[in-house]
Amino acid sequence: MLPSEGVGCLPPGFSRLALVQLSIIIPVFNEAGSIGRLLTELELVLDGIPRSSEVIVIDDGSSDETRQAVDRHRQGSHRLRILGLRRNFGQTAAMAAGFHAARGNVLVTMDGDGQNDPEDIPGLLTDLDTGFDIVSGWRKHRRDSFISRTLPSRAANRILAEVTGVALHDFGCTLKAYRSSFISRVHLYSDMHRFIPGLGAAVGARVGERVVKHHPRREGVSKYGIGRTFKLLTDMVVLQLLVRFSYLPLHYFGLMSIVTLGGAVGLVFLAFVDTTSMRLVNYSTVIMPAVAVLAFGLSVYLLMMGLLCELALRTGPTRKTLYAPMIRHEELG
Amino acid sequence: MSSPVDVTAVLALQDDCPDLGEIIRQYSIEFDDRGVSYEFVLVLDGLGEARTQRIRESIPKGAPVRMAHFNQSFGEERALAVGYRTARGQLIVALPSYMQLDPGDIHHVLDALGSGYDLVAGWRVPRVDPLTNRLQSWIYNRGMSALTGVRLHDLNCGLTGMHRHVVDEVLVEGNVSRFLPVLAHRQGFKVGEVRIRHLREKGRSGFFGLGVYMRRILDVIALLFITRFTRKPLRFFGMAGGFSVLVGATICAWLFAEYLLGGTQADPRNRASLVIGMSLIVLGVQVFALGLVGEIIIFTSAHTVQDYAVDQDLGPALSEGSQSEGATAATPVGDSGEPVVAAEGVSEDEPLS
Repeated sequence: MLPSEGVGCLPPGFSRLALVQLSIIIPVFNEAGSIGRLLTELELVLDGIPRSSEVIVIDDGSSDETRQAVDRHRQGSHRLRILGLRRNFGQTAAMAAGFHAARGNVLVTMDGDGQNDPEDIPGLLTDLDTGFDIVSGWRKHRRDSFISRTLPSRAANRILAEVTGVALHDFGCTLKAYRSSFISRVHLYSDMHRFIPGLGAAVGARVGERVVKHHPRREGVSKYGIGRTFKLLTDMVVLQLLVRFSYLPLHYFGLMSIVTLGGAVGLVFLAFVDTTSMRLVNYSTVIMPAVAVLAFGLSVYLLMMGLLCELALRTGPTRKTLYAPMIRHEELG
Repeated sequence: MSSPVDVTAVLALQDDCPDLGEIIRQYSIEFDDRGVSYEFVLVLDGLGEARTQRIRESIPKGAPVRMAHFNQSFGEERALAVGYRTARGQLIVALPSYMQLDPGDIHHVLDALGSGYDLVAGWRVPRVDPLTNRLQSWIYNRGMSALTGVRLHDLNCGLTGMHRHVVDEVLVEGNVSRFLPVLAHRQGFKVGEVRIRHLREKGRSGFFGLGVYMRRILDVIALLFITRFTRKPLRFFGMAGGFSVLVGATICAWLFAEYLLGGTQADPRNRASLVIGMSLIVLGVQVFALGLVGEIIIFTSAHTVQDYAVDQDLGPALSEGSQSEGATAATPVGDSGEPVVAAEGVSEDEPLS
C-alpha cells in the first residue's frame, strides 16, 4: 500500500497558483493496452497548441498495468499528472476527481480507450473562443455495434434533447470542452457527466456541438451496456429540475406553497358550504376542517422550507459566486 | 509526518478495570519482543475521581500511558474515536479493556498491517461465550454482511488494527465509528480480518435489554444512510415521501371513486379515512421537501463533496518551464523521505493489485 497523500494536496513540483490555460482530463479503467498510444498522440497535439496545458489521467482503480503504463509516460512528460483512485469509483467520480484537480480555465474530457481522437481538441477550443461555454463532441459516424450501442443511444439522445431543450445529437460523447467556471460547483455523481451540457444550459451556458472522429476500439473491452439508458433518462429529468430549483428554491417552494394554500381554501369551502344549495352549513363531523388544517399546515411548512433553502444559499459558501458563471463581462475601448 | 511512536494501543474504559495492569504489562512484552516503540492511550468514559484514581494506581510504573477523560459518559464508541484521534502512533490498535484475547495474537494483526492491509479486524474463533450470545452475534454479523456488502465475521470484536491514515480519512464522530471496517472498505482501503484466540468473555450473556437492540438498529440505519445517501439525499427522502403520497392518494381516490360511482356511502367529507389519506399525502410532501432542502445543502457545498478517494497524486517528472524553476520542481525531494516513497510507488516493480 502506498502512503496516502492528503486529498486535495498537490504533488511535489506543483503550485496551485500556477494556473494553466488548458486541462485535459482522462479517466481510465483497465486501459493498459490503449492509454500509451493515446497519450503519445495527445502530447503531439498539445505541443502544437499555443497554450499552457496539463494532462490529468485519473486511474479509476485499474487492476491491470494501466498505472504503470501512464507512469512511464509521466517520466518523459512535462504536463502529465496521475491521480490514482484507491478503488474503482466509477467514471463520473473519476471525472469529478479530475475536475477538482484541474487548474486550467478550459477543461477537456476524453475517453481513455482511444476512441476519441486528440486531433479534435483544437477544433473544440476554437468553438469555445467563438463564445460557447460548453462544446460537446458528436460522434456522427459511430464505430460501435449498431444494435447494442448506437440504436439505444440514438433514442436516448432524442429524449434528452427534448427534456433539456439542448439540441445535441450525442450527450454520451466523453470528448467535451468546458469553461471551468461552469463545472466547479456541480456535484457530479451517478452518471452525471453525461448531463453536464443539459445542466449547464439550465444555468445559462451556451452549448455547442462539433462533429468529432470516432475510432473503433483497438484494445480492451467496452464497459457499458444497454441497461443503463432508462436510469439515465430518469436521472436527467430529476437533475434538470433540481438544478433550476437550486438557483431559486424560494420560488419553487413558494409556488408549491401557494398551490397548497389554494387547496386549503377550497377545502374550507367544502367544509362549511353545502355544494348543492350553496348555503353555509355546519356539519357535525370535524373531518373536513381537520383536512383543511392539514393543508394550511403544509402550505406554511413549504414556505418555511423555501426560506431555509434561501438561508443555506445566501449564507453558504456559494453566496458570492452563485451567478458568476452566468455573467459575461465585456470591456470596450 | 513521521510519528513519534510505531504503535498506539487504545483502550476505552467504562468501568473499573482489574485487568488493566496485566493488559499493559503483557502487551508491552509483546511490543518489546517485536522491537517497536509504543504507547497506550486510555480513554476514561466519565468514571469519576475515585475510579480514575484506582485506574491510575493500577498502571505499572514507567509504562508509556496517556489518558483522556470524559466529564460524563459518552459511550464506548465515542471514547474509542477520541482515543484514535489522540493516538500518535503510525499504527493504531484498539484493545478490549479486559483480558479477553490472547496478547500474542497482536502479532498477527501487526503482521497483516505490515503486509499491505490498511485495516485489520479481529475474528474470535472459537468463541467461548454462551450459545445465546453466539447466535445473536452470528445473526448480526450475517445481516451486516448482507446489508453492507463487506464480508466480516466478527464486527463486534474489540481488537481492531489500522494505519493512522485510515483514521484520518474515515473516522466520523458519533456511533458509526463502530463500523470503521465497513467505512474503510467503502473508501477503497484494503480491509482484512485475522483469527484470534478468544480466552474468556465478561459481561452480559443471554439477551440484552430492549434499549440495547433499539440503539444498535438506529446505528445501523445511520450507517446505511451515511454510506448510501449522504451525497444524494433526494433519492432517500424522495422514495420515502413518494411512497407515502402514493398510499395517501390511493385512499383519497378510492373514497372519491366510491362517491362518484354512486356507492353505498355518503359524501367523502364525512368519512374518517379521508383524514388518514390526506395526512399521508401531507406527510409525503413534507418528507420530499426535506429531501430538497438536503439537496440544497449538498449544492452549496458541492466543491467539498467527494465521491472518490485519491491514493496517489504524481505531477509531471519534467519541469514545466525547464529553465527557471527546473532545479526545484524536477526532483521530488522531501526531507522526511515520504514524497520519495510516493513518487516511486508506481515504478514497474511495484505490483499494484
